[in-house]
Amino acid sequence: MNEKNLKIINQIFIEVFNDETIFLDKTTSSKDIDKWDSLNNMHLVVAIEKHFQVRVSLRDIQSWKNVGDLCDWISYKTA
Amino acid sequence: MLFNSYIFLFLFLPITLIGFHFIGRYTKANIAIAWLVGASLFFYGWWNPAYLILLLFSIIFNFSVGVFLSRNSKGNLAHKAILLFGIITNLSVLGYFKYANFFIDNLNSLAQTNILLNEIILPLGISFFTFQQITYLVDAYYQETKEYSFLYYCLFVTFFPQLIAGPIVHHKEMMPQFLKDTIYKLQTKNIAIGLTIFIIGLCKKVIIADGISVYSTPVFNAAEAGILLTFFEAWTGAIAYTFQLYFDFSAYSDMAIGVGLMFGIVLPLNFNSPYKARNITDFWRRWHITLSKLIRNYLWDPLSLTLTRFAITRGYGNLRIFILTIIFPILFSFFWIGLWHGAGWNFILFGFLHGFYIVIYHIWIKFKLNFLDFQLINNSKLSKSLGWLITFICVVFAWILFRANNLDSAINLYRGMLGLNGYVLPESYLIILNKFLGFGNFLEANGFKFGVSGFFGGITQIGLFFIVGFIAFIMPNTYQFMSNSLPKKLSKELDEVKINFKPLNWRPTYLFSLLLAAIFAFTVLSISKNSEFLYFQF
Repeated sequence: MNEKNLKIINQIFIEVFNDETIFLDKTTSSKDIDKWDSLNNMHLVVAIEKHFQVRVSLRDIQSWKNVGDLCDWISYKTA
Repeated sequence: MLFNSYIFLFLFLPITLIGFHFIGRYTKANIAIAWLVGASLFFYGWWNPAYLILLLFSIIFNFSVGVFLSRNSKGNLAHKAILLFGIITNLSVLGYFKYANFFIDNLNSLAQTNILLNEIILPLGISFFTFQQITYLVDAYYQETKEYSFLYYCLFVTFFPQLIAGPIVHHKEMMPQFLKDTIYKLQTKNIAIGLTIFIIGLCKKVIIADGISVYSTPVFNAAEAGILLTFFEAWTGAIAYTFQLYFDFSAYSDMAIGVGLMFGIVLPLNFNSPYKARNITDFWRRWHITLSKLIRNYLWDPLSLTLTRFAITRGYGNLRIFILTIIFPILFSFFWIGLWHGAGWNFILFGFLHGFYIVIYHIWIKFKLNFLDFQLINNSKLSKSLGWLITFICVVFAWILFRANNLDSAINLYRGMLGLNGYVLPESYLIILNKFLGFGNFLEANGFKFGVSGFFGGITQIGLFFIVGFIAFIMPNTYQFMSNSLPKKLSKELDEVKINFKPLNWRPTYLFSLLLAAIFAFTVLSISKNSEFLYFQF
């Protein structure tokens, strides 16, 4: 389940940042991707909300430290 | 009381520190906390005891509202109303003390009225303790605060190292530390590290910041007096202020963190070599980190999330999405960052200018991604250096607005920097420059003048810039030097710098203590006047 989510999230990253070379693993954080910063973070969040049909709160967003946390959160929400 | 005053260094700090560790060792933790709160209130009241009342009122008010919010379940209307009431009260008090005069002045000139208001003296640190407590209320609303005793809450707000000029602390990082037994047991390692950071901070303030102010203050005073400044005078004055501000404010933050550690408390990192930034967003991640974080978490994120959701559900096109979800919230957030620093149009414009920089940066990243995605621009050394240079020049340019007391003097300086008042070098330089293939005459033939350039310190000043520039641009910062010994909370935010020359890594050895003692002695003997920290006015 988590692996599948990771792939989907990777695809969302590629679309939002318009960059085919992005390859995510669970430890990837905003430090590893230049284009990912707090300015466009919400574009990513809303794309994820839309795809998984979930609603994210600010507290959730601020608790994610890396892509792994994000995947876990999605698995938990969509389970 | 100033960190760089004899009374603080030789009476207040030792007495408070010894008292705290003595009480903590032989009696209860609560009494040690009470001692520290008492000392902090004394520290604050030293300037103007009248404002102690304001501080105490603010603490009692926010604590009561916070307890109410955290006890009642969230979501109902009354709950929201109380939060709103709390925030509005805080902002009104801040508004009255900080912005009333500004507001009345503008109203008078706009509506041609003549309302008089006595000049209100700004209570020290009001912007800091107000914002700190607003975040507490918001977190209490979301049930994220535990309930602490009133005494602990008092310490969270008043803890004297951070009370006047930050770092802005968050209850989540402070409260658990007060509850730890270990802080009440004297740990020599903490004293050693804290004292080292403190002494480095003191030296930065007394030697570097105050030293370099000789070159910045006269230039800004001249601009205010309407004296026309030439190209070199304006630029060197602006660069001098750029260094002064950094060494002044980062000195304060270092000293706060150092003193905090002596009490066993880890305060958050506030500076991470900001002038090494290679782009403007990077700059804001390194400059006054605790303010940027606060604005990001409590203003930017909610605004950006709401607007992005709105724009996406409406199915807006790229341009509208960009305007609504990037440009607007950036300018809005930076408007507040500007205004937070002071009541004046110069501060508002300072905020907007930085907001504008960030918008430009963002457009550039998008453009580069789509059209210029090739190696030369991406990762070469040249592009990194160029990015650094452009960022630094933009930062220097914006500080003018920050420092100038009004718009006219800022414009005056900008005219000088753009060369509109001519390029004048000191007369004696003509002969010297002519020794190099007649370079002086060449310059003179091309619009330069040689004459009186009173505010330009010449080679001495340029030499000084090279020294402080080396410290700010190239050397590892204090925390990187000490990264092997620092508490993890502090070191995890630093860029990794490998200091290959091992003896430079700080260790508690005789050699380092001797060196620091020498720096301390030299610095203390150089304290000439009571020079306030620049950030005290915010």
